[in-house]
Parts: sequence; structure tokens; C-alpha cells
Amino acid sequence: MAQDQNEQDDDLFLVDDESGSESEDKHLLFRLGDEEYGVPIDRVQSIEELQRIVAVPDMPHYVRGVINLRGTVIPVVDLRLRFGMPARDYDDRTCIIIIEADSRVVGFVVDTVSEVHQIPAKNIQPAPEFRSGSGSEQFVTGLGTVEGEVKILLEIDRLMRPEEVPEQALALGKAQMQSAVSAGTEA
Amino acid sequence: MERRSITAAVSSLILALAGAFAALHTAVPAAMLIAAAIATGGGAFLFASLDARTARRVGVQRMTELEEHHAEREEAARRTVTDLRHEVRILKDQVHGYGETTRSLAEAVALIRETAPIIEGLSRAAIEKSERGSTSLTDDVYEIGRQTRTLSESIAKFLTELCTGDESLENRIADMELDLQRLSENAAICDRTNASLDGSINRISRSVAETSELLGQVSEIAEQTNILAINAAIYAAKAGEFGKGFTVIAGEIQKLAATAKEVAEAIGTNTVSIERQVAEFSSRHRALMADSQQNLSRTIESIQQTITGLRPKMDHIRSSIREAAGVSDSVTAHLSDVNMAMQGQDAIQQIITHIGVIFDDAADRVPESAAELLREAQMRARELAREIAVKHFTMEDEYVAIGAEGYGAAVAGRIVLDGGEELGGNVTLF
Repeated sequence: MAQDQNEQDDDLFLVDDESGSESEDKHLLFRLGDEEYGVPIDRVQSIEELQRIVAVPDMPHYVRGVINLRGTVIPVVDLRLRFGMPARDYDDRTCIIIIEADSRVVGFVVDTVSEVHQIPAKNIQPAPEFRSGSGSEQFVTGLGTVEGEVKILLEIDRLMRPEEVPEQALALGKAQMQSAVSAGTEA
Repeated sequence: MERRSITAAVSSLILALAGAFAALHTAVPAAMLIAAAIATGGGAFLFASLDARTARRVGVQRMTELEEHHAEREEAARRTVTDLRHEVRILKDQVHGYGETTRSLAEAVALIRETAPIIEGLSRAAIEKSERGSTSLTDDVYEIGRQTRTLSESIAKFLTELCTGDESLENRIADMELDLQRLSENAAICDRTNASLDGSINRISRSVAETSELLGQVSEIAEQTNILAINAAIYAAKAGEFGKGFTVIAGEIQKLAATAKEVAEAIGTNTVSIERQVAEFSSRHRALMADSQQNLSRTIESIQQTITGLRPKMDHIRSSIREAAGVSDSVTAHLSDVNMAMQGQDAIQQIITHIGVIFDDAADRVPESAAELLREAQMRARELAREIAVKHFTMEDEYVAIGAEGYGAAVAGRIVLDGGEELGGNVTLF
């Protein structure tokens, strides 16, 4: 009873009272279209509001460009486009989730972020067998259930691989940004 | 002797005539003839008594002459007798005719006498009835005329009041037109109110829009707060043991953000509801106003049509008033005619009365007329007898016949007295 209460409190307050290992269960939930998706919170660096994206030429269509996040230039991927969903105009609820993996940082544009929620491992089921190599299925790690609703949990690392987000984009963006920053510093 | 025999013959002839009249039941002429016969007979006796003294003196002088004329005289007497017979026959016929006439006259008179009271009574009853009838008829006609005139006058008065006066139809129409004008003004006011209401609704819509905008900002703040909270949660999770307290704060902030978001959404829902209701109200109001205006314009149109329709009726009423006045005049004229007719009837009644009086008088007089006729018949008979006597016997003859003297003196005196020889015939024994 007390345990259940605690769990509920944890769910509501998003507080990790126990050991740090439980932070593995915490997921950032965000929305793309009608569905809600989740990524492990330890991969998330921060949530940023939409800001000016500087377009970078010769990139895959889902790579919208780069942003300057407090002096760091990071490439931005539109997840809708990446998952083959129809494009949608950005609005004030549109957010950029900054993910950090393998010393690389990439921003993902989503419709909106919902909350940080704990999804225990027992509530996560493995993803069904999909045909390999087709669309977004390869990025799905499992289906988590939160309050009776199914959340699609993503293998976010795969979306950050160099073949997904070319290095030159990052380099070019970095160069552009740094020159801009230095110019600003000099000024 | 011959003279006596002639006288006797004449006397007997007259007696025979009297007999004949008696046979005919005509007493008067018979009596006359009997009297004549008696007179003649008396004369004969007179002659007889005087014969002894005068016959010798007179007869000697005139014997020869008389004898000479005897045959002639006899012949004349005979002719006279024939004529006399003829006359007597005519007289008999006439007397007979008089008798018939007198009888029918008497019957007629009797009839008239019997009929007269009936006729008189009838005519009196007729007159009375006529008078009574005409009196009541006159009264009735006058009453009808009076009532008709009163009626037509009251109709005219009513119609006149309808046309003129404070409560008249015309004024009412004018009032109606005034009302119509006011109605139009009201419609205009209604339009203005409508416009101002539209303005209010627009202002409300603007306010709602502004509220929505503000709500958008609130939502944005809530969103930012949420992101902040999520970020805090992320950082707290990464901070591990040291971030525990911060995690609590992050959780509270996220709750706050969620509450703010909910409130903002509730306000937004309310605002949207207000906006929707205002829009509905506005559209309903618009529809209602459109309906009202349509009704109003229909009413105005209908009133205008009514007024337009009433105009000719007013004219008609005016002509009716004129007609009613004409009827009143005509009734008056007819009453005068009736009055005159009544007077005429009175005159006729008077005439009838007069006729009745005359008739009565005539009825009374009829017997007198009949008596007169009888008297005339007697006179006629007497005249005829006298004519015969005058024609065939002279005074001189009579004097001679009776042997009386003083004829010439008598004639001279008579002429002196009467102054006309023709009157000689009048002085006879009849």
C-alpha cells in the first residue's frame, strides 16, 4: 500500500527517491502527430524552445540545419520528416530536444514535449517484429505503457549515427557558428 | 128641332166618347167628356126652356139661312165627327202611352224610393270608411315618411360623423398614418439599436479575441514553464544524489506549469464558449431582428394598403351621405305629394257627399216630377178637348144655342179686357 503510494507519488512528482539506477526508467515523453514517444532521460541534455535554424546545404531533407545553442553549434533533425510523416508548420509548442550520445549532440524537432515520466521495465514490452530496414521501425526499442496509454520508446542513438546526420553538416555548421561567435566576441 | 137634335147628337157623341174612355179605364178624360156631355145636355135643356120665347123671333130671321147651311153644316159635322174620332183615337193612344209611362215611372219611383235609403246608407258607410281609411292611411304614410326621414337623417348624421369630427374615419386614417410614421421611426430606431448591438457584439468578439491572445501568452508561459520543469527534472536526474532536492522543485514547477496550463485551457474553453454563445446570440438576434423588420415592413405595407383601400370607401361614404340627403329630400317631396293627394281625396269625399245630398233631393223630388207628368198629361187632354170645342163651336153659336143676348157686348168687353181675339177660345164653359 505504502509502496504503491510511493510509486504513485513518484509518477506524479517525477521524483526519483530511490537509487540513481531508477533514473534509467525515466523517459522524456513527446508528441509527434497523434502518437506519444519516449526517450530515456539520461540521453536528454535539455529541452529547447524553437529558435532560428540556419539551413545547411547538401543535407538529407530531414536535416533542417544547425542552431547555436549557447555557443555550441548542433545539427537539427525534424523527426516527422525523418519518420516519413507529413511536414507541419512549427508553432510555439514546437520544441527541440537536445540529445547527447557518443560525444555528439543533435537536436530533434518534435511537435511538443509532454512530461518526464517513469516507465518501469515491467511496463515496457519489446517491439514487435517489423520488417528490417523499412522506415521508423528500426528505431523502436519497445512499447511502454503509462496510465493505460501506449508510448513508443525510441532507440535514439541510432538516429544520431553519422549516416543519419552527416559529419560535414556539423563541421560546416560549427565553422559558421564559430566565425559568427568570434566575430561577436571581437565586437 | 135640328139644332136640338144636333146638340143631342153632339151630347150623345161626347157621352159615347166618355163611354169609350171609361172603357179604356182612363177616368180623367172620361170625366171630362161626361162633363162636356152634361154641359151640352144642359145647354139642350136650356135651349128647350128658352125655345118657346126665342125660337119664334130668332128662328124666323135665320130659318132660311140655317136651312141653306144645314146640309153644309151637317156635312161639316160629319167630317168633324170623323176627325174627332181620329183625334180621339190618337188621344186614346197617347193616353194609353201616358198610362204606360206613368206606370213605369211609378215603378221606377218606387224602386228609387226603396233603393235610395240603401244607396244612401251604402254611400255614407263608404264615405265613413273612406274617411276612416284615409285618415289612418294618412297617419300611416306620415308616420312612415317621418320615420324614413328620421332614419335617413340619422344615417346621414352617422355618416357625416364618420367622415368628419374628432372620432371620424378620416381622422382615424390620419392617426393611422401618424402611427405608421411612428412605426417607421421605430423601425429606424430598431435598426439603430441593431447596429449598436452589432457594435457591442463586435466589441465583445474583439475582447474575446484579445482574451484568447492573452490566453495564448499564458499557455506559452505554461509551456515554457513546463519545458523548464522538464529540463529541471532532467538536470536533477543527472545530478543523482545531489539533485534530489532540485528534483522536488522541478516536480513542483512542472505541477505548477500543468495547473497553469489547465487553467489556461479552462479559461480558453470558457472564452471559446463565450465567443460561441455571443456568436449564436448575435446570429439569433440578427435573425430575430431580420424577422422583426420583415414583420414590421409587412405590417407597414399592410397598413398602407388598408389606408389605400379605405380612401375610396371614404369617397363612397361621402356619396352615400349625399344619397341619404337626397332620399330625405325625396321623402319630404313625396310627403307633400301625399298631403296633396289626401286633400284631393277630401275634396272627392265632399263631392260624394254632395252627390248623396243631391241624390236624396232627387229621390224626394221624383214623385213630384211624376205628379207633374200626370198633371201635364191631364192638361194636355184638357187642351185637346178645349181645342176640339174651340175649333167646332163658337161663342156665338153657344150664345145662339142658348138664346142668350149681349154677345157683342160680351165680346167687346172681353176684347177690352183681354186685348186678344184668340183668347176667345179660353172663355168657354170648360
